Amino acid sequence: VAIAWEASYGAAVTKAKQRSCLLMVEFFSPH
Amino acid sequence: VNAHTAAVKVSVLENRDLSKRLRAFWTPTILFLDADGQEHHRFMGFLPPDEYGAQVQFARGREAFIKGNHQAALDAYQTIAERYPQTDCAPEALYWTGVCRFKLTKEEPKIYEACREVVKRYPNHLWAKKLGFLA
Repeated sequence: VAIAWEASYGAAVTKAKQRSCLLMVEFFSPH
Repeated sequence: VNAHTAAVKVSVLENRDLSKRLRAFWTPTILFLDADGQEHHRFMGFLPPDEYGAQVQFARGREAFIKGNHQAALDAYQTIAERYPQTDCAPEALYWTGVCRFKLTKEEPKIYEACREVVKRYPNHLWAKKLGFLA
């Protein structure tokens, strides 16, 4: 599964609203 | 994935408030929200591509079903059943195809047909145990 990640949470929220699609949030630990 | 979602990675260390608000208490946690911020699905842990893809479809199906779009829900669940039949959520998705068909046709046997398929294809899965009495 190839995923194009948005640059920020805000950008992803905006894109999800514009496209009326689901917002997928992957929380990770940076280490 | 990107045909159906806007995806973003969020560091829990740099976004503590958001992590707390969305109850991401362990990583990785992946969750799916609609435009209103309503959560429809989540899973925890690293998954191989096919399992990950199936989870995305499952989220689509759940959101569509809850919003009453049973044809879109059926499409998503059917995608799992056909494209990702060996994934962990495939048995449940197969069950929901029957529920969606029932919603679309009002024909109750559609549910039982799906239950029988789940038990037949996945006899050792938890969903076969859940549905065995209906099959």
